[in-house]
Amino acid sequence: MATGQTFDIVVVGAGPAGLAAAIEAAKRGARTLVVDENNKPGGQLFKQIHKFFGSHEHRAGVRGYDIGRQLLDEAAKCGVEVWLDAVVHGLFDSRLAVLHAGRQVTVQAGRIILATGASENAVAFPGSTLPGVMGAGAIQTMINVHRVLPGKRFVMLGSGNVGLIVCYQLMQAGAEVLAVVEAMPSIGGYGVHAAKIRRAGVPILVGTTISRVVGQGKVEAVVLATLGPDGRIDPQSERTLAADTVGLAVGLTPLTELAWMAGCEFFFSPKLGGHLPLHDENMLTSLPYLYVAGDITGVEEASTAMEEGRLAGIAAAESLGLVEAAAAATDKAAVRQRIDVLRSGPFGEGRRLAKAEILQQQALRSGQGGESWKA
Amino acid sequence: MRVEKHPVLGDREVGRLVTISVDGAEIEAVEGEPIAAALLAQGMIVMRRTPRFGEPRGVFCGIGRCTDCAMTVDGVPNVRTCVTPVKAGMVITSNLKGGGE
Amino acid sequence: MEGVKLTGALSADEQASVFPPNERAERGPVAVIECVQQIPCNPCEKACPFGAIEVGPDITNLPRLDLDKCRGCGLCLSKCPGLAIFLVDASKSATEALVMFPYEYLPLPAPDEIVDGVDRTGRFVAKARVVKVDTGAQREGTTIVTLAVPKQTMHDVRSMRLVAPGEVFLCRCCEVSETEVRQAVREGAKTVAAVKMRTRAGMGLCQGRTCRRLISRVIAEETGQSPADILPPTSRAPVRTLSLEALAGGDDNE
Repeated sequence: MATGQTFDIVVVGAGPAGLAAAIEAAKRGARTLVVDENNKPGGQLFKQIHKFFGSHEHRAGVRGYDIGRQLLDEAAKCGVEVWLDAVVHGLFDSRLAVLHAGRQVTVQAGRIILATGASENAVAFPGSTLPGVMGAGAIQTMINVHRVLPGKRFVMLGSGNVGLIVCYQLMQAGAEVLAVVEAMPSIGGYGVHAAKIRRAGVPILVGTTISRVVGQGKVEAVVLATLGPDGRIDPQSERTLAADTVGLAVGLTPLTELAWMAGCEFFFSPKLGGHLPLHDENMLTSLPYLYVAGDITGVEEASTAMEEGRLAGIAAAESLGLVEAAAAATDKAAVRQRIDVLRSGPFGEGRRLAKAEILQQQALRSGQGGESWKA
Repeated sequence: MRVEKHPVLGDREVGRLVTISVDGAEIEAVEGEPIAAALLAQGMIVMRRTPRFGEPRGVFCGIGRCTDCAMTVDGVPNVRTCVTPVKAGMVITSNLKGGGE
Repeated sequence: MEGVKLTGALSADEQASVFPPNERAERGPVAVIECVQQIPCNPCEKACPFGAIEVGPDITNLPRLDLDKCRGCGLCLSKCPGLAIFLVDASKSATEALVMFPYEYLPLPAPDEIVDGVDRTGRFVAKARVVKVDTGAQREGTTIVTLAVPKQTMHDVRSMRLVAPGEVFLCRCCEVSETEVRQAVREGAKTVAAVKMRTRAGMGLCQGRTCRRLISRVIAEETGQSPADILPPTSRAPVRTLSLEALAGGDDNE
């Protein structure tokens, strides 16, 4: 291993959470490094070509890729160092093993913020391994970033916001969307996203699933079926769509390998995507040097991820003694207020309750609660 | 198929065009784009066959996690084509016969 | 089964909850905010220069529109991330209304082009004329299309489908497209005969027996006349397809 370098704060992941965390930390004087395994920064922001929801005071109505550019500019201005093509493949206390552009280096961090994001869930049905069945995120990357359509006639499984948005973007890229298929009895995502693709004539079939995909060596047809009250496929209801590509938009799972490796405490939240590092209201895990932000702490969306990143960045800088407690408290309170807004309303309720449960659990396990559960 | 025109993103910016070889066939690709994108643009959706049953596989996750799109690139096996940028003159083989690697 | 949660399209009740009264649309352009779920979102509030849209401090509140303050400027249409705001204006004519909606697809239509006005489920409602296509920079990639639609459909038309030019042939013999016929009507050919002289539609082997009705319908749509008022062209012998050779020998009766 090459000799290590030392940073006050190392952020793993240059997506919305990671960049926001790094900006806040660097602004407060921390020597900050962001590492990302991809060769471009921004995480998933650059494939988000729709205007974001939220409060107009915080960049709602701005398209995702523009937010990505703004974050990168700001990070550069604050002096954040960014390593791309840098894979963190091991965490040994506060040291990170990084394969950076083919060279193995060790980085010593004062604090580490994991902002590794989440990955798409797979789903298995007969034919689900055929070429032409792919994640909705993979489709979105291909059409919006690389400008390549991976097929012509699509069926989307899953009517959450990801499935609905990717269908809309497929049509913007010139593809045909035959149907959105949703096993649940109602549409998962925002009605306004659903309305956009309905106006274009795309049916959204609730209570329906893909019973199988057929084809010789590639997707040639998709067989749909209605789900009975017992949740089983009704074989009488099968019908076939001549699609060549199937998108899967069935949720995401937090990317937690490094947190497991570090040995912090975990919590299982089905609502937020599964096992995730238990954290307090400063985004601190059970390890005093390890913070988390964004989808690794529970799958939400990019705006919340950025705010969580800010929180983690401020808190990590504070823990290094770089800011006064009073100033940090004011800044953190403002961020928390914005997060509360993003989790408000009926669509945010599930996430709001699940996040509250995490804080409760954390308070219980630390035996102290609130701001100070450092061992 | 390339997305040439787009209502929000505008016209596609064409980077430097290079030639790569895929199973002996010469195809045009954009330097720096993922190998998998270049293949999909040509309608080539089968990247490999599985070692056990010889089943075809193509792009699945598109972010370098699932390894379904792995191919042999310049003699190096198991290269994830969805996260490996195209360079001029790359020689890519799909291992379409299946079998262990 | 209906409602945005089940089908993605607003139910009749949901539509009723957001429609301005018809009298308001008769007075001039007015926004229709088809936002019925409590999403934490408020760019529309800031977008309105007249303070006509109120969300309030709790941004999950549904937006409320002040019908008197709204001047129908349409600035909110491209600010809504959900593309859920439309504009209707019934003040311009007795039979037509204007409907404005966001449109983020290519190709874009041209002014005066005739398109299919479609409803919230993409179903055809009525032929519509494109009045304006606003791609201004302040729209940030969200084009706003204004259509003139039959007035009774102004609460139904919410998007459009382009009619592929040249693909729809009205006159099968001379291969004259619907676009060409509509263009001719707009240029002043208001009768079937005038369209025929201008485009050759109806001058082929069938002598217009197949396309005549189709052309009448297009003239009716374009001019707003009742199909009853569009008379068929003058009938002249021979009114059936026959060989001129059969006539050339003169009359056998003599």
